Amino acid sequence: MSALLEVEGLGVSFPLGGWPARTLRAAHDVSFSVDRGELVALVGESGSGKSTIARAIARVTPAAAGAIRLDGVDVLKTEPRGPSQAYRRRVQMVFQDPFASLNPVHRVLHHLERPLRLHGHATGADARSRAAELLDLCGLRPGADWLDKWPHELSGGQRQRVAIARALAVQPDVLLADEPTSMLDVSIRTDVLRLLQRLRDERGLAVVLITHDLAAARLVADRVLVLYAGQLMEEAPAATLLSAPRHPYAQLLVAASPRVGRSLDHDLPARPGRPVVVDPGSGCPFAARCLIAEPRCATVDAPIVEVGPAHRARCHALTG
Amino acid sequence: MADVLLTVRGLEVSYLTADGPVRAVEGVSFDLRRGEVLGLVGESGSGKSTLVRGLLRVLEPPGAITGGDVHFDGIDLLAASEDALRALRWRRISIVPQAALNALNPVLTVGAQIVETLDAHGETSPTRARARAAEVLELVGIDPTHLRSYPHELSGGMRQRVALGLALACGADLVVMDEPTTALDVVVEHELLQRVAALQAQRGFAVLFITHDLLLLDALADRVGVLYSGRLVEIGPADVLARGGRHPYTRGLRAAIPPALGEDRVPVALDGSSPNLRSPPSGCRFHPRCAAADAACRVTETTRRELGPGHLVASHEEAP
Repeated sequence: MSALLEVEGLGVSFPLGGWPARTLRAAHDVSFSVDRGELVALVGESGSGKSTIARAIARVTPAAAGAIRLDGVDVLKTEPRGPSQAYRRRVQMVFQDPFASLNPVHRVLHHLERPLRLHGHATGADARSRAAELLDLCGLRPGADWLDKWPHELSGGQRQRVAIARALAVQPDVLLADEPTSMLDVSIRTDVLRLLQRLRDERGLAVVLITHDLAAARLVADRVLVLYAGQLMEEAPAATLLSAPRHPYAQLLVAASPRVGRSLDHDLPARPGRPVVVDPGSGCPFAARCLIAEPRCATVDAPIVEVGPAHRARCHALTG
Repeated sequence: MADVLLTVRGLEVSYLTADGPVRAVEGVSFDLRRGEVLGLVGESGSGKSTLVRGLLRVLEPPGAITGGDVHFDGIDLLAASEDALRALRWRRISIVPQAALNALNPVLTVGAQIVETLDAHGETSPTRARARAAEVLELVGIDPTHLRSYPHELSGGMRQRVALGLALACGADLVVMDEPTTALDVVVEHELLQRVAALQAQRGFAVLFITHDLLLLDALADRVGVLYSGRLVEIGPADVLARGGRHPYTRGLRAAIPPALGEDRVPVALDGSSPNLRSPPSGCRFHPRCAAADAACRVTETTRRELGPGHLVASHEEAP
């Protein structure tokens, strides 16, 4: 049986114009799947394409290549002109900035009531009690007390809970959370991450967590996918990826992440540089920074190879 | 003590609003020795940015210093004239801001900005200023060919390094760093912190490092101060605070952070959020969120107690 959400060979590019025309390749040949009751983290730095991939799955950014299958149906084929209302209901997104994602001139209730009514999940007075339940679920208890508050009365963490409650109002199957904690204070990040985990466990949601923070991914994700310059470099169970990364870029990311007893004396295992996403050509995008790069790395796309149970990486050095 | 460079005593900074003054920083006292790296950590609303602006005398109205003393190498900073301050800035006290993109002038080349700064602070020969500008870039690991680059042509990490170079260009004794790595990816952050640590060791300037990231200070700082709701609740040697610290807020903050790599613990979220400064809680400001709070905490102000060499904590006398 196939997984709930399958992404295969996804490519997203943006034309930049100019003469000769240049193209920004934001995502290239990205494949992964997320099942019900699973939380998968897409980890990468700026320019890695992690948000673009989420937006392509939400279909707010058009995909240039590949397939996005929900319950085995490739929606890029069946709904080529844009997502159906049914798809938009089943795949919901939570954004990074909780200060921008709520409308300042509407109370909390309005944000929850609208999706409930538009998607036919509640009418009249029923909407109010359903909205209160959603807030309860998201840790604003008792929910009824929060319905009449204005966004400006809420802290960042509380707003993010409202944003998550709004996404849940339409009973989605997939929740795409784009850096939901990066604008929150450290002391409340854990709580919001735990909420995503609870939704996975109690509601069987498939959660895709977009983050730059390996510690956050390690805390709540079942699997971690590492992206660089729009390509999937490595995928592994969270514990494996953090303890035994195989791709040189994943190793760099792990080495640079905060750790107990970190010292600033050791040099990172890579040359400085940035991902090249404008007209990148073929070859491994990390080759120029990689300490073990071979001549073929700069010219030939590396294949994804299995390196262990549920563990794969895209590197020539691992092909033997 | 002769080796104390900056003395802050009972500093109070308020925002004079139409509804009366809001005290954003209150009773903050600490010393910074020559060549020392002092980290100040705080969440949003802790007053860390207000504190820095206050002691550098760059507060904008309605912000105003409403009490306390700040002495820099024997000079009363709060009484100093604008001319006296101008003589200190860059030559003796400099700042690395959070977002270097906003701190650099977009229409001037990097070289022109460094030359301008040197020129304004005592370098009279244009030829020598240009040569020194090249040295400044080399100091922070940027190829001098970038003297001709405009800020937008540099990556975020390079811009931040230019800002670091500018701050060091005139040989300041005190470099204030206001969240210099917040906008950077982990790999670039590690590279910048490494460079700060190396240059600090080599040149011996003192650093006041403001951040919301407690883990970052473990590796960088000699001492760490923790701000909560405008007050310094604990200050002590970095290794003592790295082991957890004493104040319930310090301990709670560390416990709430997702575990770093190599750390095996279950994070415990800190309930509640920072108090509203317009109506702060009585007694210890942390008491509404503190699991160890008793009746005294709710009514009595805390006092500073010394727990070890250079380790001060705001607490009640009867606390262990």
